[in-house]
Amino acid sequence: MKCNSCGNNLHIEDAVCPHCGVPNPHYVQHRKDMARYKEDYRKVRGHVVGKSGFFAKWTVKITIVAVLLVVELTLIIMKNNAWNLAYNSSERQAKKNYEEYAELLDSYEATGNYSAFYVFYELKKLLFCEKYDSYDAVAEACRLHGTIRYDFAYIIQCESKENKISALEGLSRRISEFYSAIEPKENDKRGEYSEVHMRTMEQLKRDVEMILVTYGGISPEDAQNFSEMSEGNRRVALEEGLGLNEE
Amino acid sequence: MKNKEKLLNIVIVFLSVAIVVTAFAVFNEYMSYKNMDVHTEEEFFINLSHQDYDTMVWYMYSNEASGVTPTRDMKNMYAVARYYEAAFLYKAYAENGDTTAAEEKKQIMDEQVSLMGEFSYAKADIDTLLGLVE
Repeated sequence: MKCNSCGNNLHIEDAVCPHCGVPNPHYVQHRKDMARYKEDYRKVRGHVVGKSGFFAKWTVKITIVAVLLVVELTLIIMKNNAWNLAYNSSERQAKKNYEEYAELLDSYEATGNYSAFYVFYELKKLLFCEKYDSYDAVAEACRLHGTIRYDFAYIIQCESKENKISALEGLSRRISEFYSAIEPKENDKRGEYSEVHMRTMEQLKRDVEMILVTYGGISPEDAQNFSEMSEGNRRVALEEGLGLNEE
Repeated sequence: MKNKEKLLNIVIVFLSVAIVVTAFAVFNEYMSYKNMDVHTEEEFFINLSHQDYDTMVWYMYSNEASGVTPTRDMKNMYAVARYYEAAFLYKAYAENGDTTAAEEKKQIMDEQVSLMGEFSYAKADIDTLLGLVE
C-alpha cells in the first residue's frame, strides 16, 4: 500500500510511515482485525479440540470396556471348559509321546505289572487316542483284575457279614465284566489281539482263577469254569466259598 | 457427562478385577484337573493307618504316572504298597502250585521289606491280613 501523505510504499504492519512519519490509519484497524481473528481462532480451536478430545476419550474408554468384556467372556468360557482343555492337552501329549508311552506300557505288560499298566493308561487318557487302540482291551482287563483284587481285599478286611454280602454283588459284576473283557470281539479292533496281548489276557485269566480259589474259597474246577457260569451262579459260588450263606 | 465418564471408569475397574479373578479361577480349574491324580504323603499315611493297602497301590501308580517325586516317607510307603501287591498274588500262586510265579513275587516281597523304613511294621500286618503268617 501507499502512504496517503508522501505516496511512498507502506506496509500494513507499520504504525507510522517510515519515510514521512505520518501515522498509518490502516494500522490500527489492522491490529483490531488481527486481534479479533486471533480471538475467534482461539475460540473455534478450543471448541474443536474440546469436542474431538472428548470424543477421543469416550472412544478409547468404550473400546477398553468392549475389549475387557470380550476378554472376560472368553475367560468364563475357558473356565467352564477348563477340564476339557486340560483333557485335550493330555490327548495331544499322548499322541506326541507315543513311542515313550508305548514302551512303558509294553514294559509293564512284560513284567506283569498290571495295575501300573492300567493306571498309566488311564491317567494319560489313552483310551480315546487312536494310536493306542491295540492297548484298550488289555487296559480294561488290567483294570478289572485290579478291582477284583481290591474287592477281595475289602471282603477279607470286612468284619460285618452284611457288608461282605453286599460287596459280593459288585465283585460278581466285575468278574462278569472281566470275562467279557478278555474275550476277543469279532467286530471291533479288539478282535485282532497281538500275541503279547493274548498271553497277557491268558495270564490275567489264570490270575483271577487263582485269586478265586485262594481268596474266594472256590474249588479249582469251579474256578476254571467260572467264565461259563451266570452272574447269579457265580455269586452263589462265592457266597458258599466265603461261608456267607451259613446261618 | 462427568457422571457418564465416572461410570465408565467404574466399569473398567470392575471388569479388570473380574478378569483377574476369572483368570485365577481358570488356572485353578486347570490345575485341579492336572493334580487330581496326585496323592499326598498324608493320604498315604491315612490309608496305611487304616490298612487300606490296595488303595495305596493305586495311589502309588497314580503318583508315578503323574511324575510326582516321592518324599522319603512316601518311598517307604510305596514299598509297603509293593509288598502288599506282591504278597496278594504270591499267596494265590503258592496255593495253586505256580511255584515259579510265586518265587518271583516272593523276591519282590523280600526286596520291598528292606525299603519300608519306619513302616516295616506293616509287613506283619499284611501277612496277617492275607494269611501269610507261618
